[in-house]
Amino acid sequence: MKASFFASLPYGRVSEPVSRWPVPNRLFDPEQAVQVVASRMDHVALADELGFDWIGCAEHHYSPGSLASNVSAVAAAITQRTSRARVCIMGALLPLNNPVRVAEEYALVDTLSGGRLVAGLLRGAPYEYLVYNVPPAESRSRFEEAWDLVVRAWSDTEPFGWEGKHYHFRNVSIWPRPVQQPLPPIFISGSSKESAEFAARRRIGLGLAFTNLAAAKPAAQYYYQQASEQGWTPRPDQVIYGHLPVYLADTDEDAFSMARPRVEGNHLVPGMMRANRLVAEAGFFGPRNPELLQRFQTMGEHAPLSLEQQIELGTLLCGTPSTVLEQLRRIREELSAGVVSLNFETGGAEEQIQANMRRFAQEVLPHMHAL
Amino acid sequence: MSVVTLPGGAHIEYRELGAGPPVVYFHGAGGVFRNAAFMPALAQRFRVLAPSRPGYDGSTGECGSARDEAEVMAEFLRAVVDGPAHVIAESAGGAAGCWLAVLEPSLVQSLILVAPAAFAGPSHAPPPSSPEAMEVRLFGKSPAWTEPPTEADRAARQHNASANAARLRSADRNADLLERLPEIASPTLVLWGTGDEVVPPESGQVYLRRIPNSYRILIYGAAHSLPVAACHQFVALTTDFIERGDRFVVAESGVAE
Repeated sequence: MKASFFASLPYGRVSEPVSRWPVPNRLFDPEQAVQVVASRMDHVALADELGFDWIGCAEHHYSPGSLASNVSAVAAAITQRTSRARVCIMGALLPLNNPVRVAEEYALVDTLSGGRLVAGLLRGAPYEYLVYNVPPAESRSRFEEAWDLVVRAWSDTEPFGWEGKHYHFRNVSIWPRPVQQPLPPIFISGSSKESAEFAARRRIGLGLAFTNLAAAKPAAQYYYQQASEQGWTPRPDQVIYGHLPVYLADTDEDAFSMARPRVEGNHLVPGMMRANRLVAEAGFFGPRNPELLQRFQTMGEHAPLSLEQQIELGTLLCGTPSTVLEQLRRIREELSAGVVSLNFETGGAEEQIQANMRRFAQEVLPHMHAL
Repeated sequence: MSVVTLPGGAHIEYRELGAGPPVVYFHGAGGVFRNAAFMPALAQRFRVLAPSRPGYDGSTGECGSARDEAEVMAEFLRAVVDGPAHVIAESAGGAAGCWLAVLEPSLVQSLILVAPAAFAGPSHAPPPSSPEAMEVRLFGKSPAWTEPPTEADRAARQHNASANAARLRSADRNADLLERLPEIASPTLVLWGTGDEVVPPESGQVYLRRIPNSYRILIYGAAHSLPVAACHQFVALTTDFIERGDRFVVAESGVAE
């Protein structure tokens, strides 16, 4: 089992409580951003040094939750602070971007890293569709067409044009092409049936994020079943689960005490929940996934989950190294997942984050590799 | 349907529609389809001529190769068009279109190759499970017909294919034509559907490598016979290429995203 260090690039504290989305950028302090980005790039270098297998980054917009508005730029920065770990883009939000540009940027990241790219091509969370004015009901057909165009741009060696439903180009011939031939490892995200079917048809990996074990298990099983019907079996590192906050301590009680105030209670931003609901109701999930629509319609209506419930659902890792290892073993067994994305941004101070990373690398990672 | 007798003795049936710059369409293995909607669509801007190649439909003539066919088609252009034309050559007609551009460059104002099969190997796709599945493989799920094909249409298509395939099959996959592709001077557009399971889109690369002034456009998700399977895009791209020539690569307002 592999560990992916998630370089989420959070902005950190803001000067007043955030309730709306987009978050007004009058709250943005450039000096703080420069500082936090520099320290997070130090974390990236440390993660590489400590032996984390992948370092991941993901595109998000309009909030202090993440400054990674251009994930290829973040990935490019990661390539310059690492020499060993794979660089996993988790990913560009394909329907929001120019697919040819995505193909170019990813190929450049593969070149900058000497062939260490893992290419996640994602559809994104619902609220992101308010960023670039893309109709949510078109997100899947845009995604599927864009995916085919990106892979064509990576693999076709003569100039071509593209006449599609959503995308029209007369000249495509990207430089650089990816270093990894014939293609870099690719995965898409997906809790929906359509995503599992698409990944199985294209023989690519599946990422299960912003979910829990109870929901991810049937999604993973459906993916394996669909792959089997297509005549192939996914490798373990083609199922990626995350991003899980990590709380490590000498005793389970200490870890629970550290985690409880940070994870219990309602941390949802009302404006973002509203944006998610509006987009979900505009057809983002399509007619085959009523449970996903309902999840976004009712988000925040239920009582917040306790720490113990969250551990049971597999949405975080918490305890001693041996306890955390057992939690990882459960993920391995229930999902056959070969990669877990880990988030060490758990609200601790800078030294705590680094200490947590070191401890994980020393006391959990070697055993995790053996799972 | 019109018929012309050419100096070499071939009798060529052809359909003609519209007025304007001449466009000659070389059909694929199934022959000329009387009910294909792309013909009247193109005819709104062009004089469209669709000859049945020798041996297809009611056309006759001695042709043992694509090169022979090109020579007959050159006679056809001289006799009926009386000058150069824009040539569209589809699938099994692709080799004849290429030969015409090699041998008679003054007759080919531009060349549009539609999933040409000149150098393609056998398809790796599993054989279609039924005649209906074969139709989907050829024409896609939303074929553009002016009226649905009848059993007689299907029988004619089947007869055309079976009566001529063996005669025109090149043992060396047109190796001589491959060598001569660089001689094609006409602006050339190569069109292919990404969903083509009859002649894989990858076989389009060789035309780009060898024809100096060539462009290639992939139509997303479209099946093999683009004039029928992706009529709207086929007509729009073809029209744009014929009318704007090299400038067709430049975006116009309201065309590209």
